[in-house]
Parts: sequence; structure tokens; C-alpha cells
Amino acid sequence: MRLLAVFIMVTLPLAANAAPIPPLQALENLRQGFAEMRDFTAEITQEKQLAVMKRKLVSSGSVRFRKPDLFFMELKPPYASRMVLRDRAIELYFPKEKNRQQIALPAEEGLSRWLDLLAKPLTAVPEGVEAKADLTGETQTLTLSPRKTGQVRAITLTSGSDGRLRKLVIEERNGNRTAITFHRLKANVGLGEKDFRLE
Amino acid sequence: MSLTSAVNGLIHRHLAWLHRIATNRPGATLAVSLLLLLLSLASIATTRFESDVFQLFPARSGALKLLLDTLRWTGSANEAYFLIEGEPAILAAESERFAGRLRQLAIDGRPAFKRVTYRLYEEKDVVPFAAFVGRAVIMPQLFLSPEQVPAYLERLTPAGQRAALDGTVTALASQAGMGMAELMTADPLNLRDLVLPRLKKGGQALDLDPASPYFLSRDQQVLIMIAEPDRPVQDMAFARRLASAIDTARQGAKVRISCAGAHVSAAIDEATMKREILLCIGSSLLVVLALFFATYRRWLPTLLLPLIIAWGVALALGVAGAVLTSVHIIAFAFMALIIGLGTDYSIHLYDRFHMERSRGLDRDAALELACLDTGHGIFTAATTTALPFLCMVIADVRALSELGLLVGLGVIATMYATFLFLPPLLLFMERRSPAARYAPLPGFGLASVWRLAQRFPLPFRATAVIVVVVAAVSATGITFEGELKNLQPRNSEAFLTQEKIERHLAISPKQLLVAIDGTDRDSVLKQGGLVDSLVSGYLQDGRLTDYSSIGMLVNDADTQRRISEGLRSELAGRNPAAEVRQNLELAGFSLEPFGSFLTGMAGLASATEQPVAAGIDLLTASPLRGVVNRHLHRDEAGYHLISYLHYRGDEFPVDSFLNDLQRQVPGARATSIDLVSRQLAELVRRNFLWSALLGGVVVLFLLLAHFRDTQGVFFSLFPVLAGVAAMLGLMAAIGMGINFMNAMVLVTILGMGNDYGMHIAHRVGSARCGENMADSFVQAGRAVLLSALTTIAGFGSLAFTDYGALSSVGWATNFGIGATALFSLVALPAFFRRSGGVL
Repeated sequence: MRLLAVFIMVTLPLAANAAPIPPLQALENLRQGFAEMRDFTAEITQEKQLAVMKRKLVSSGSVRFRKPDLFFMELKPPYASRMVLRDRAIELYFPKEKNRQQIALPAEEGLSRWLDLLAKPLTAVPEGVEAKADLTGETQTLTLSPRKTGQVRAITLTSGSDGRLRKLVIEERNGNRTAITFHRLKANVGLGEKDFRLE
Repeated sequence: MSLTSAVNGLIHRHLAWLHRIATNRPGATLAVSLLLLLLSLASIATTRFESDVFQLFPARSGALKLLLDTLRWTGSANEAYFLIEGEPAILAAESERFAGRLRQLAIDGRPAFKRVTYRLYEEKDVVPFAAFVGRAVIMPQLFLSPEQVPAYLERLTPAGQRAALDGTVTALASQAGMGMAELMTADPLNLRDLVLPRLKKGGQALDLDPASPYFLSRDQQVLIMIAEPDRPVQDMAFARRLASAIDTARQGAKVRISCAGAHVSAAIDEATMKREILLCIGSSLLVVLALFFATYRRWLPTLLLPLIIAWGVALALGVAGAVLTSVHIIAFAFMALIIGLGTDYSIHLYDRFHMERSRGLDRDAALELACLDTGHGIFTAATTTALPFLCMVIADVRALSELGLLVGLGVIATMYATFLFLPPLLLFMERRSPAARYAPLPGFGLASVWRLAQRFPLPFRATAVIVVVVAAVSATGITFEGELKNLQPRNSEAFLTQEKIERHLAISPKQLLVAIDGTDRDSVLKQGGLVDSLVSGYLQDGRLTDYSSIGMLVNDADTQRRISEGLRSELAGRNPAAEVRQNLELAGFSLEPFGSFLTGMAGLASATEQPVAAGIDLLTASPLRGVVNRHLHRDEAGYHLISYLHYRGDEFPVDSFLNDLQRQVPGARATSIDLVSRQLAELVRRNFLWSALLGGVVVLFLLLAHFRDTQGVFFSLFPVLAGVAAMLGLMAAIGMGINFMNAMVLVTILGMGNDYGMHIAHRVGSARCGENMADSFVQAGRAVLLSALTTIAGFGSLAFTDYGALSSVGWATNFGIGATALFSLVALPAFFRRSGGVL
């Protein structure tokens, strides 16, 4: 769910809105923006504050996405890692340790499930999710909180009037907090299979 | 009056009675026959057919019993396997989709599968898995392989700790970090990398990619999914619907999905086999009818043949269905014999009637000769065929007893059907067309054969003897084919999937299982330790490729002592807990979440031996319980400890190992596919010998009763014995071995084959009283030739089926019947004197 949330939010550029909007409309704007996108790339800065650590882990890197269900994320040293997500199958590579891992996401967190959801206009906020949206100046903030007692407490999505995602914050119930800031988001750049290789 | 005369008298009276009721009271005869048919059909409708090869053999003791027990203990007997092949990049994602569809399958409102497994553990297992890892990594004396002790100690050095913590921080910073927090808190030094591979491997019966969370082959070509259907395989209606639902679930997949398992075999293979057998029976019937019509040019007797066969088969199957709990599909396939055999009696009876009518005899006299004189031959032929089959009922090999009952009953039923249905039909034809002309029948060159054999008897007999001797010598080279899988349908989905599993996922080509049973767990584990000690010798010198047992997963007392001593000695004067605490702080961690780990580190230097049972209980309570379930099972009889030995082939001396095992662990049992094959071969051999002996005595008595002299017995048995020699010689020459199935053909050939010589001897023998011997030979020979051809068409056509067991039976039949017919028609005439008797 957490990982998926990272992906979903990263893939949805916002349509600019001039006034405060209901959460459903904000979500529908995101969906429409995503519908016109075949792929995208972006640079990121990630800040992680973990309950088990006293200090913040700050990394920079990049993300890539290609429809229908391919997602890539790379973090640079000192915490270097690369990840490819195909629907529910994650492959991770840690270059320093030369360690490769595979992880299987739970069925309800597969990319295809969410992409299917975004394939048609939204008529309601997804079941089991509480949503809030507000507009401050040109910055829109959408907060999604799963009602189910899972690990994620809230996902906050911040975007500008140009529809480009600026920041994503994931808060977990155990106190962990991950903030990802996006720069230089480019859509429909024509990504190929080679752009999603781990090594 | 001698016994044989008395038996002959009884047979004559019985045949006369049959002739009387068939010709005088055809309506009543038909009504009773219809009633019997209806009762039989009702019985057949409630009969269950089985296709599992293992069900053919008794499993009360020995290797087969243990094999079936282990399948039950480990749950494998009731599992369905899905093999997913495709682009490695999409294999996992497509498997996830397919698993989702399988989980959604419902039959009668209930999920079709109780579970679908294709990953090492699910998300719900994360917390208990982390809890187990937290315990296991601080109990190295129980769970660490002795070979990993140096690496474990290296990880505990200050430099090792810092490197491990760097890796942990990097992992936490990655996208996997969120889901791995519990695991990393339980084991911040990543000691699990040293503990888990052995446990993971021990829980797997397959050779899987250790880096993958999926059940993925090492070559990453295939992924295996294991599912437990909601109902047992015995529920055939469920199995059929499940097979259909599986087909629906795999439609539209971007990867190739094949399946195997008991349910799939039961439903898909049963349907395939039934279709093949029915197709074979249908085509055989057409050929048989065409042969009959081409020879006799009479529509009504030709059309009566399928009715006689159907009635005989239905009656036999109905009776068998009433007395047996189920009928095996292979035994049912042997019913194809009835097409050939059932036709034989009509051929002989009609041929004699036709020939006598063409000679000018009146209707009643011709029919009486056909029913009583040739009928006597038919009766003897049918009983000498049926009784050896029925003798096989005593066999404890189910394949033999069921086919014996089915074919024996079928032969008798079709013989009675011939005596009861054909004469009234012939009378009806005569009444309908009184002026019908009976043209002379084709001789198929038999008159020339007779003339040549009578003119040059010595060359004929010498050639026959030479052929028999050559065949017999060649037959000494015949091999026994004990590989059970070769008896399965070669192109069936279940078979091909199983082959792929062996190719991509098998740990080794061969596997041997050792089981120890007992009511006391500690005692069973102790004996398991003895097996481990014995096996370690074979493992060290490379005669085994791999070995898996509880003792290889949870260290025994001796190993624990050695590991504890090693830890005490290396950690002497050090405080691992303080060192880890310091390094955790240096890496930026809070210390509170690592309390359990630090406590465990503090106790490392004073680690003491733990009961093996404690380690087993810890595993059983964790998501890795499958590791224990694979090796230790408990039921109402007590505990069953299973150890798995993997080997390539001849380099592992199985017999020597079994002797060692029996000496060192007297209560241990062992099984493997090879041991099962060996046990079955012995069973089949013993059953076959007893059946053949009993059947042989019965046949000898019946032939003696029929002929009242040894000459007739010689005429009857010479072609069939020569035919069997030729069959075995030919099989050896083309590299075809005897297997569990075609061995039965030997019995059937002995039963069927003596008919050919017997019919010829009966007719030629009766010609001594003034009839032309050549004409008698041609008449009987024609019927024999047609009989052989119809038998080959009926049973030999199985040679072209996909089912290895049936195919081998078909080829053996073709060779045996063909050779027997050849010796009867070509060699036998050379043994008759012109004036009668043997030259």
C-alpha cells in the first residue's frame, strides 16, 4: 500500500484549479491528467524519518514510469538502490552490496489494480479512503487517509497550478515519515525497456 | 464313463438346449436378454472409473505403501500444480494475476481451492516471520549450519557489524524499507542471511531460485504454483468442473500455463483416455464389420455383431460394476478384446452355416451342424479363453484381477449372445428370402497352403521349428521396463507438465525417502539422527547429491555443543551486546527497538544446548512450518519422520544403503519410484505365474475333454506357444520391453491363441469321418484368419493410442496374435496326416 501510494501519486500530474475543490474533483483531475500520459521521468529528493533512527535519511535520485504497469526508482549514494516494479513484483538492487532482492506485493497493492481504477471517470472517492483537499494560492494539497488499520496513516500530495507534482508525504502509524520532492517532471519522453533495467 | 466324456456330454446337452430355446422361443429369449441388459446398464451408470496408475496395484505394504503414505502426509496427493512459463520479466506479474483468478474460482458457491501458494510467505506472515528470525539468529547453536559459524563470527566483529549496519540503513532508505522495518529491527546485522538459506532449502521439495520470493526455478524459466482443491480427487464431478474452471482461468494469459496433479489427471486424462479408447473401439468395430461383410456379404448378421458385442460388454461391465467398488480405466480398455473375441464366435458359427448351405444342406441341418458341431469348438474356445482370464481374479494386482473379470465375463457373455441371437436371425433370413443363394466363400489361398504343406511337410515343419528357435533365442534378450511414468499418456498435459517440473525444478533425477515411525517424538528424532549419520558418509563421498532431514535443519546435541564451544571460545573476553549497541548508535539508530536482539547478543557467549524438539516447536509456530511439515508428520498412528536422499543414478548403491539402513536403524522404511517399480514387478510376476499356472491347468483339461487325446492338445497349443515365442523374440529384437501392462497380454494370448489351433484341429479332425480335409481346413482356416484380423483390429489398434500402457499392450497383441495365426494357418497343416492324425 505504501509503496503503491508512492507510485500512484507520482504518476498523477495535477490539472490546475482556480478555487477550493471537493476531494472527488481533485482526484478526477488527477485521473484525467494521467490519462494523457504514456510515460514520464522525474528527479527526486527523498527524506525519511524512521522511528528506529535518530537522524533523517536524505537521498536524491530519479523515477521513471511507463504504461501499463512499469515503474523504476533509483536512489544515489550514500544509500544507493534501484527498484523496478511490475504490477505486484518488485525487484531491488543494492549496488554497493551487490545484492539483488525480489519482493512480492500483496494482491490488493498491484499496479494493474490501481491503473484499472484510473481507466474510467471516478464517481466516488475509493472505498476505504478518507480524502481532504484544499487550495492555498496556486498550491493544491490532497490528503488521503486509509480507514483500514494498515501501516499507512496518511498520504499527502502537493501540486502546483501547472499540474506537476511537487511533493509527496507518506506518514505511517509507527511514526515513520517519508517525503519525496519532485523536480523536472517530463511526460511522454518515449521510455523503452532498457530504461527499466536494474543493472 | 470318464470325466472328459462326462464333460463333453454335458456340453453337448447344454448346446442342444441353447439351440432349442434360441430357435423355438426367440421372443422369450429376447425378453430375458433385454432385462439383463437393463440391469447391467443400471449398474454401469453407478460405476466409478479410475485413471490413477498407482490404484492398479495393492498398497498394503512395502515401498508403494510408504510412497502413498508420504504423499498423504505431505498433502501432495491432493494438490494441483500449475507450471507458468514465459518471459522472465513478466512471469511474476502474470503469476500473480493467474493466482488471483484461481482464488476467485468457485464451484457450488464455495472457493474451488483452499489455498494457492506460489510465494515463500505472504504479507500476513511478515510479523511472525520477523519474530522467528529474531529468535533464530540469536540461537545459532540450534539453527546455524556448522559451516556458517566462521561467517557468523565474522559478522560479529566490529568491522562486520559496521558493514552489516550500513547495508541495513541503505535497505531502510530504499522503497523496500517500509515493509522490512520489523525484520531489520529483529536482525539489524542481517544474520538471517546465514540461517535462513538452510531452512528455506529444507522446506522445498524443488530446486528454487534462492533470490526469488516466488517458487521460481533456478533457470528462471518456470514458476510453479501449488493449490489445494476444495474437495478430494475421488469427487469426480468436482474434478471435472475444476478442470473446466482452470481452463477458463488461464484463458487470455500472456504466459503458458500447464497443470498437473491428481484432479487434473482424474478429469482431463480420464476424458482423454476414455475418448481414445472409445475412438479405438469405434474404429475397430467398423473394421471388424467391414471384414465380416466383405467375406460373407450378408447385412443382417453383420449388423447383429455390434449388438452381440454391446450386450456382452454391457453384461460383463454391469456384473463387474456390481461387485467392484470402481473399475480402472486400463482394465476397461481391455474390453476392446471383446470386439475381436465376440466377433470370432459369430464368424465360426456363420461360416459353418454358410458353407454347409452352399454345399446344399438344408436350413435346419446346416444350423444344427453350426450350433452343435462347430458350436462345440466355439464353446471350448470361449471357455479356454474365459477361464484363464477369470483365474486372474485371484490376483492381488488390481489391474490383473479387474481385467480378468471383465474380459472373462465378456467372453462368456458374447458366446451366449452368439448362440442365442444368431440362430434365430439366420432362421428369420431364411424365412424372409427362401430362395437366397449361398455363394461359395473366398478361400484366401488357404487351399494352396494346405496342398503345399501336405506335399512338403518336412520343409514346412523345419522352417517352423527354426523360426521358433530363433525367436526363443532372441526372446532371452527381452528386458523388463519398470518405469511407471512410461505407462502414462505421453502427450497428456499432466504427463508433460510433470516432465517439465522434473527438468526445471527437480533437485536430482532420483530421490529416495526414508521414514521412521513411532509414538514418542524424541525416540523418532533420535533414530533420525542415526539415519543422518549413515547418510553423511554417502554424502561426503559424493554418492548422494543432496540430503534433507530435520537433523539437517535443527542441530542435534553434538553439533550444538560444538557450535556453543566455538562461540564461547571466539567471544571470550568480548561483549557483543555492548559492541552492537555502540555501532547501532554510531549508525544513527535508536536503541529501544533493538532490545530483544541486544539481549540475545548478550547471551551468545554463554549459549548452551537446547532440546531439538524446542527448535522444531519454534519452526512449527512460525511461517516456516512447512519445513517441519515436510519432514515430520503426526497422525493417529504416531510420528512419521521423513528424510529425503537425492541422487543421480547408479553412483548411489541403493541395495547396499538399504542393507546398512536395516542394520543400523532396524525400524526404518524406505521408498522410491525405483523401489516401487521393483515391488510391482515382483507382484506382477507372482500374480502372473499363479494365474498362468491355474489358467494353464484349466485350458489343458478343457482341451483334453474336447479332443480326448493329446494330438488335439498339441494342435491347439503348438501355434500359440510358437506365437508367444515369436512375440517375445520380436519385441526383444525391436527393443521393446515387457512392462506391467503388456505382461498381461501373455495370459490373454495363451487364452485366445489356443482357439486357432483348436478350431482347425476340431474341423480337420472331424473330417476324418469322410469329409474332405482340405475343405475343412479352408473353412476353419478362413474363420481363424478372420478371427485374428478382427482381434488385431479390435485390440491391436490400441497400439496407436497415446497411453503408453495401452500402446504397449496393443503392439504385444499384434505380434502375438499375428504370429499365432501364422503358425496355425501355415505351419499346422504340415503336421496333419492325409489320412488323419499327426505325421
